Amino acid sequence: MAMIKINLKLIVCLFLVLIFYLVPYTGSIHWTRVLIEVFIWTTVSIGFRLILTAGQLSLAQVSFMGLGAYTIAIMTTKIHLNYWISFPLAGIFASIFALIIGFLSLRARGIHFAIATFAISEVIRLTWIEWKNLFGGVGGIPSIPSPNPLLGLEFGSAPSFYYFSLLLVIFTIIIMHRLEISKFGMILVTLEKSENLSQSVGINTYKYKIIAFIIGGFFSGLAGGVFATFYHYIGPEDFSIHQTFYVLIYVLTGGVNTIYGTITGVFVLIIALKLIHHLPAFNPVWESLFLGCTLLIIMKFLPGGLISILQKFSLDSVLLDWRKRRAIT
Amino acid sequence: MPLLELREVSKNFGGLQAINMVSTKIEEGEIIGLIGPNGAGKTTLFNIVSGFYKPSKGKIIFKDKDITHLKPFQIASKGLTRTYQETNLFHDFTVEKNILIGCHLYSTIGFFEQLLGTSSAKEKGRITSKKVSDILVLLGLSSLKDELAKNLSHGYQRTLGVAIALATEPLLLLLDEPFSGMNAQETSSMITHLLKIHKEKNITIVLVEHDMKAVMGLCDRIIVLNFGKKIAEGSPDEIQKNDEVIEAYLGVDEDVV
Repeated sequence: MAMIKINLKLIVCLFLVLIFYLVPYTGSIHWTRVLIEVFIWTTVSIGFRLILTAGQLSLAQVSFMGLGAYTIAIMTTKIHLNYWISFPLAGIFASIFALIIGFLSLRARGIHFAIATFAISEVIRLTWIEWKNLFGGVGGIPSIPSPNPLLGLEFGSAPSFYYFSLLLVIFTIIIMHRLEISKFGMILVTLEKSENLSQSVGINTYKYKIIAFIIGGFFSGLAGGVFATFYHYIGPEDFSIHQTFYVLIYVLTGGVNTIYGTITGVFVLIIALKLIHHLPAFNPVWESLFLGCTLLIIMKFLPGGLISILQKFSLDSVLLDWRKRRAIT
Repeated sequence: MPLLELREVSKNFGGLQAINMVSTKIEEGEIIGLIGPNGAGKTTLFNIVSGFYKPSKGKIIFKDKDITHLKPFQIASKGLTRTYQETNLFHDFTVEKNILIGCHLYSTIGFFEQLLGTSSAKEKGRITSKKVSDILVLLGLSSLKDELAKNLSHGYQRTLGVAIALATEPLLLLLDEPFSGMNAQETSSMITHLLKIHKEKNITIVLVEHDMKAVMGLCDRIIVLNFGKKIAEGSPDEIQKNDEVIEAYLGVDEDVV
């Protein structure tokens, strides 16, 4: 039975990958670009969720993304470094900052941590605005080049860049999934409700939180790197607290308990937002209105997020239901 | 050499003297009862010894080493583990996983080993799960191992608390009211478990408890606290006859005075 279940999951995963592989062949550049956006924000949201499972709400996650984006932008436009050297540097730079910020702020818990990270993210944003020589001020950094060709592959066009971002998101999901089922993930979850008990069985809880923060920062930095090359332009407002709240809404809507919930949330909401853009007489206010209403409805009727619908109607629970009913009659 | 030694430990919370110059020595292999009226400072003393509070004055020596300024997780790794007065478990995990997390100190799986799922990680996982099942058997929790901790009855939850502490392979176990809220039958089975742990694993036990019958029956030696001060120390018989202890618990008979 267990074998069949694992294979079923694997088949579903492969099927999804195949569908995503085929998307560019439909010829719709618009939806290819939308999906690249989905992949970027999925990577950020999964990183954000990792530290959230430890009960710490980080309001600086998008700043890590920005750090990665600015790293790529500066490396490729000012130093003219090869893209494939700058790209890992984006992740590494963001994770170094995560280490420093985590070291300072992770001693605080709950709302205090949220406020501390909020303050830090504002400091980072203001630094981008004020250090005009390096970061280009409010105007940001324009004309960021496409990735250099690698192994004979060009990354200038939307489809090839699409596959690059798809690979990144798959890589992120695999790593995060492995983390979640490992001892590391298990201990991280205990920190939300039973940090004292974890300490008294000899777990250095502070260290675990910092590691989680660094990993989240690393992937957000990579996502930022993709973001910068995708739009060829970045500015400080791309990585403001506003974006962090979007990420928070994606995660809560999809469901915070599993990675798959988070992925679902990002996917559904970004696609929905794009559809709203197509409505006649579209007004930008509708975007916030839609997100706010969605969040309210989800919190009221589906506290486990969209993914909890699936769990309710999963094969296991349907079978269990069926057996119960048969036992009664 | 004593296993644990407190040297004139004091703790102030603002103007309140919660612990006042408490000194004592605990030898290896003893079962010690720590008793006293409500608010006497028993749990505070536990919090100090296990590193959650820092003492205002004094020193704590464990195995000849000063542990006064260590963090709780470092103290646990030296072999001094505590349980909690309130039921403190990993509520959303199964019984088995609860104990598995307790084994943290002794499962040396590296971060990248976990990430890659190497064969060495699997081997180490097997050794740990053997240890978990030993503890399950020892405390009679085997049949409940797949149950979520939050669904257990109170008595089993308390037992699981002890099981988690036991998984850290302590030399000294600090139990904060292990019998609280238990009926007579649960209490007696807990006593059996504690004696078994004490004998088979050679673990020294210090317990805070209000159930006098259990304390008198179980402990070799009793320490009595009142208003943060140690007022008596000795065998159960001596403590029962001690005037100061009787006074602390029952008050002074004014007619006699």
